[in-house]
Amino acid sequence: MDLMEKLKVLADSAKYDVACTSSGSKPKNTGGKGIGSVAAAGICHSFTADGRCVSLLKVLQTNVCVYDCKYCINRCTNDIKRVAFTPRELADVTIAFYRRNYIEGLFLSSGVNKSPDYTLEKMIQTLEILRYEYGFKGYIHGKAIPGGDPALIEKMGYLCDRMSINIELPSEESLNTLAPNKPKRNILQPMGQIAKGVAENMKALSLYRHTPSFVPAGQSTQMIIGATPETDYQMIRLAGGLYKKYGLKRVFYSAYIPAIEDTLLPSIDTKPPLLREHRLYQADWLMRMYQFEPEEILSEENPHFNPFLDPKANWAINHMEAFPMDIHKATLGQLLRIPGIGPTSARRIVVARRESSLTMESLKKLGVVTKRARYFVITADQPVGFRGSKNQTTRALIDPKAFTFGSEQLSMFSTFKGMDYILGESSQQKQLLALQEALTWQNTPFH
Amino acid sequence: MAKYTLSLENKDCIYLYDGTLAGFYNCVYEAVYEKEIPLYIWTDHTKQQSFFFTKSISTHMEKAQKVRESVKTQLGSQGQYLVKTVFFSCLEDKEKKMLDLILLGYEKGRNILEALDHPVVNPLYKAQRHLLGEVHLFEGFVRFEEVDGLLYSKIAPKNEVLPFLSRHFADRFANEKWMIFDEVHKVALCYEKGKTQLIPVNHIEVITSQEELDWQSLWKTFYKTLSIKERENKKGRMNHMPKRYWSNLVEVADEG
Repeated sequence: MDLMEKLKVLADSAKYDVACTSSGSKPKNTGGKGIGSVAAAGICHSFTADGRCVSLLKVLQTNVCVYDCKYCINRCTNDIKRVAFTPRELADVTIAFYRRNYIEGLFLSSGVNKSPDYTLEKMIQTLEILRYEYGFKGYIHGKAIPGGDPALIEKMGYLCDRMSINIELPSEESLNTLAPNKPKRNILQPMGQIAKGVAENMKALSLYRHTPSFVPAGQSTQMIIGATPETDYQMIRLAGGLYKKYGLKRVFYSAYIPAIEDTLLPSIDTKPPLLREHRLYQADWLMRMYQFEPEEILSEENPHFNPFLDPKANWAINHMEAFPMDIHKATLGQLLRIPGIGPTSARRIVVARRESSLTMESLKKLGVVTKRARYFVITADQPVGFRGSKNQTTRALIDPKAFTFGSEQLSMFSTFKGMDYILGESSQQKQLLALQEALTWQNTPFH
Repeated sequence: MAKYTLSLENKDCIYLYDGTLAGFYNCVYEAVYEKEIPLYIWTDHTKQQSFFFTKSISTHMEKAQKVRESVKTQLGSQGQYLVKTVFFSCLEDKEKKMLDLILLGYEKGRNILEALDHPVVNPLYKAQRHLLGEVHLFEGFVRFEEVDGLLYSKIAPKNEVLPFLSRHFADRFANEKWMIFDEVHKVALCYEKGKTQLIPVNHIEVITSQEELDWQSLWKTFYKTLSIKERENKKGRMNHMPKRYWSNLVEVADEG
C-alpha cells in the first residue's frame, strides 16, 4: 500500500482532534547526538485553508477500530478504507518532515485496534524508534487510549512531551449514549494517573536533576460541542473543574462536524456551531489568563453566551458599578477586567505609569483598544470617566465578528428578542445597524 | 547612575558610514565628540543626493567598543538589546532614531526605557517587535530541501532576521549541515559542526532531486488533507501567514 495513500487516510481521520500546541516542554539531553529541540513558545509552521495552525504531523497509527462511537468517522460500523502505519514507516516520515522544518514533531493518536493495550504497544514502538534510534528531541504529543493498562500509559508518558485523553462529550449521559465503549471511568482514570505522574515528576526533578521527564508539557483534553444538548454554562463549569482537579494545560472545544448519519446525532445538514465555539474559547481564555471564575462568566439563570458581546464585555456591561477605574491606581487584576485591555497591555500600563501619568493617547500607544476602553477608565485627560449612557457603551462593544460567522450561526442563539428583525436584514452592515437600533428600543442588553 | 548633561547642537550635516553596527557606534562617538546631531545617517545603500555637507565616518573598533560599553552602562542590557535589534530591523531612518534614543538615555538614565509611550522610545520598541515577530515566524516558515546531503533553504524577510535565527537552528539541527539564504539582503547563514557563519551571497541556483520532490509531494498531500471544508477561512489563513511568504513555502507556493 502506497505511503501517500496511507498518509491521506490517516491524516484525514486525525484532523478532528484539534489539539495543536507545541509549547511548554523542556529541552532534552541526548549527549550531542540526535536531532531536534523544543521551543518554549511553540512554533506554527503553516496554516490550513480553514485558518488553523499546523505544527505537528497529526496522524493515527491506524484507523482500524473495534469501538462504535456514534460521531466518529472511524466507528467500526462505518464502511471506510482501513489502513495502518508500521512503526518504522511512521518514524521515518516524521524524521523526514522534521529535518525539512515542516513540523515541530508528532501528534499520534489511533483507532482501537484489537484492544487498547495492543494499540498502545504499537504506538509505543513508533515513539521508541524516534526517541532511541533517531535520538529525536522534538515534540511528541501522544494520545492515551481509554481503557489502557496503567503500566503502558506510564511507559508512554516517559516518551511524550504532552499527553491527552479526550473527555469527548460534556456530560456522562451524553457519553453513555454516543460512546458506550468509553465509560467515564476509562477516561478519567488515565487522566488522573497522568496528572499524578506529572506532579510527582516535578517534585522528583527538583531533587534529582537527571530524573527522566514524565509528560513535561502537561496534559490537555477535548470536548465536542453541539452534538449534545448541554448548555454553555455546563461546559465552562466542566472545563473549570478539569483545570482545577487535573491541572490540565488546555481544554479544546471542537465544533461538531456531522460526518455520519445516525438517529442519535444532529441532522447531517447541521452547520458546525462556530460562533459558539468561538465564545467558548473566549471564556476559556478568561478563566486562564484574566483571573475569571466560571460562575462570573455564566450562571444557572444565564446559561447561554451572548451572541453579540464577547464574555468579557458582557461581564463589564452587567457590572457597571466596578467602573470607571483609575488607570494609575487599578491593580493588574482590575485592569484585566477593562474591555480593550489584555494581559500584555495591562503589564505595559503597570510599567509605563511608574514613569509618567497616562493619557488616552498614551494608552493607545501601549496597545490598548481605546475605542472600547474609553468607556471604562479614568486617565490624565479624562478625569471623571465616561459620561454617556449604558446603551452607548453597549453599542460600542458589539462584536462585529458575530455577523461575519453568518446569520445561521446567530439563529442558533434564541435569547435575543429582536433576533428576527435583525436577521431579516439583507447585508451584514444592515444587520449591525438593526442590532444597534434594537438596543435603543429595549434600553437593556439582551435577556 | 551618572547622567550626562550633553549640549549637542542640531547641525545641517549628514553622516555616511559603512553599514555595520560597529560603524554606527562610531557615528554615535562622532556626534558626542563633536557635540553635534546630524540630520541624517546614511550608508552607501540608503544615501540620496543632497546639498548638505556629508561626513564620512570611518570605523575604529576601539571607539565602537567604548560606545557599546557606555550604552550598556547608561541604558542597561535592555537598552543594549533594543539598540541591537532595531539595528537589524527595517525601520526607516533607524540610525538617526537610535542615536536619538542613546542621547536621551545618556541624559535621563535607563528609566526612560520604561516610558513606553515616549515619542522617541515607542517607535523603537515597535520596530523591535516587528523584527522579533518576523524571526519567530521564520522559525516556522523556513523550509529545507536536501541537496547533496546539505539542508538548504531560501527566505525573503523584511528585517535582517538571520543573526536571530542562528541559535534556534544550530540547536535543533546540531548534527546536520545547513544553509539559509536571505534573498532580499543577499546573505546566507551557514552551519557546520557547531560553527555558524554569515556569508554575503548574490544568487544561488539549486537543482531539486526526484527524491526531494517526492517528500515535498507527501507534505503537500498532508497539508491539503488537514483542511476541514466546513470551516474554510482563507482570510484567517492570510492573517496568520501573509502572502509575501508563500513563494518559499512548499505547500502554498503554487497557490500564491
